[in-house]
Amino acid sequence: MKESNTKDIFLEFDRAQKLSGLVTGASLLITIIGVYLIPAEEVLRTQILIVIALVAMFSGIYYNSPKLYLNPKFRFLPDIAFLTAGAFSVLSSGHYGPFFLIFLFLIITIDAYIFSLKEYVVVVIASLILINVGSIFIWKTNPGLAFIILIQSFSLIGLAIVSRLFAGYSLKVREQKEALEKLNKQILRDKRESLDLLDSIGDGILSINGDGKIYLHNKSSVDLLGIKNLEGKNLNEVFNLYSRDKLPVDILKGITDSSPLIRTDLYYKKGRQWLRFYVHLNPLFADGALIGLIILFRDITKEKQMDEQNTEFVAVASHEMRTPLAQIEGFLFLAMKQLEEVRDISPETKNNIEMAHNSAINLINLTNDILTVFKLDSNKMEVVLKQVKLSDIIGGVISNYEKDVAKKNLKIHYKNQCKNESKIITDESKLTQILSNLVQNAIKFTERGSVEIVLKEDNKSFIIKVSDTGYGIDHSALKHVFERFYRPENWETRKTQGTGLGLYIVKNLVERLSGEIAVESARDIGSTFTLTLPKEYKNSDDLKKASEEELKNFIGTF
Amino acid sequence: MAKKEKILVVDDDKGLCQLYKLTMEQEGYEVFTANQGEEGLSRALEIKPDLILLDIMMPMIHGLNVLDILKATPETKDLKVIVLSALSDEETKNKAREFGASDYIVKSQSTMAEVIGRVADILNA
Repeated sequence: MKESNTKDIFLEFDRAQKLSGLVTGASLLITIIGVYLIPAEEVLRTQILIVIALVAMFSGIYYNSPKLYLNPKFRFLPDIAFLTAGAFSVLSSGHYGPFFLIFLFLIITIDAYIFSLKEYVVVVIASLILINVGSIFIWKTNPGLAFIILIQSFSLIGLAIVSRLFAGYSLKVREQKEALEKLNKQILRDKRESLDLLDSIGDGILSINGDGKIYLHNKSSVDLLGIKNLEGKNLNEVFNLYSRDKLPVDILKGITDSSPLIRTDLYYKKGRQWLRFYVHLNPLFADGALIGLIILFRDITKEKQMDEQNTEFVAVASHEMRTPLAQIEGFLFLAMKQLEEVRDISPETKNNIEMAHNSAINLINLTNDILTVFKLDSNKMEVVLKQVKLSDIIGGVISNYEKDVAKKNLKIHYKNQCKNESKIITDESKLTQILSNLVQNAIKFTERGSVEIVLKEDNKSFIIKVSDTGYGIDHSALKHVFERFYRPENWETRKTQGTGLGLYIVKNLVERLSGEIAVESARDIGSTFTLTLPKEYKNSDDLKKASEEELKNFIGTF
Repeated sequence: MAKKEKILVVDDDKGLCQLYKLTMEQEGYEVFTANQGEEGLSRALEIKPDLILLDIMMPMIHGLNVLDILKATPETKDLKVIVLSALSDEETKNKAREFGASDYIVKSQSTMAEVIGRVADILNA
């Protein structure tokens, strides 16, 4: 659209210039004819023609050098030239003076695009007065000649007005053209700069138009794809992506709205080599229709390989650590048991073994926590859905901690405020882990009083509150308790042990189960952790994974 | 005093076998050991223990196969089995339950005190 518009303007510009030239030429011709038609006895015709030629030469040079006519400093140059010529001609040509005045008037009119409208009106009026006054003088000696001059003058003024209009338009257009050319140069320079910038980026960039063709690409995209002539090619000709199983993937299918699509699981075959790509797809929409795409891609083959090696290393290392750790703990436990029966042994030795045993348990917990965090962070935590009764799970967790509660002389209460059976589809072992962590923490940080678990429900969710009457958490620390390795400074001094991962794991597990967790606490009054689980499990991927048979069982039990 | 309850520990790791044997003996059980699946099967037939502690990751015959065979053999199908494993993934856990294990203990996720507690629970059940 824009392009055709500029073309029209330039066409008009040409036409206006040609027309101005024509009008000037016609004026000259009429004047010359007039000079020859009307008998000139007093003055030599050649004299008149020399003046015309001089003015024509000046006009020719002046109007063809934009440096002169576009420079406001020289705007009065033609006026001075024409007025000088006019004065000379009137003085020298006697009865033919008015012809020159007409001619000069026309030239000045052509020059009108230098004038403002106000100046133009002044010139027109002045010329009319001069012509009429000149005619009156001639009328006295030769009435017929004066009449011809008047007719000619007015018709020429008419022509001149038309030419003035075109000439004025022509200047405007000329200015526009110059401005456009300047802008065009600027744009080209800017484009070059942006292209240089795009080329210096290591990621491949492809810009696709609405027809699916590449209209812009950078150097890296050529290097990454290994295809030289990308411009104008169809995207699906050159940008073929595959899944891990080497099945073709149509990435465009994933686009439904203007939100960008990011995939890191796709492969590209470059020659014989399979490259893992990071692909960022930015769709461009206008009025609800896809009008283009910006694709940014990167070769992440090496990074992913290293990532996988690290992942494997952590998995293997922690797996290999489990057996020896279990044995250390087990043998220390056995030693402790055996020492219980030995009488003549110092309590210090017993204590030492007990300390070693505690440390072994801590190390086991830390290993397990790290493994869990690793699984959560690398998205390897699988969810196994099953229908369970919340009250059963809570009961089970409480019974596990009864001994610990008794050891610290605390009490543990459980209140079930649900009207119906608390049946829910969730992952039993993960929920158990969440509740165990919360109850364990409650016991750990409470010296006097009790731990209370309340099960409630509303329309949409089950709510489990785990409260204690312990130390509580400082207000400033509250928002950090779910962060990795976060431990308030003063906790350590209270001889509590832990990895600082427990609540981070809890939060992540809760989120994995589509639930929410919140904490309230007051210093020396206690803490309450509120776990909210939706009655309807939200993650559709997990639901799909749960086998159909199991799903049938859930439905059957409702 | 009642007759001692018999426990058979099947684990390819000799250290772990020894540990369970000593610990369970300390707890007052009569303990037998086998270091591989096949030996475990023949010992189970011979001793008819009250409980088998069965490791899963073993060379030759996999623990889950041992469990499957035990449950398919008339003489041993009623024996209680606790599966021990370093694996904590849900699939293995579910398979073990499906094959008839009474409990599933992830090594090192459970302390020895817990193992003792669970053994007692299963035997008293």
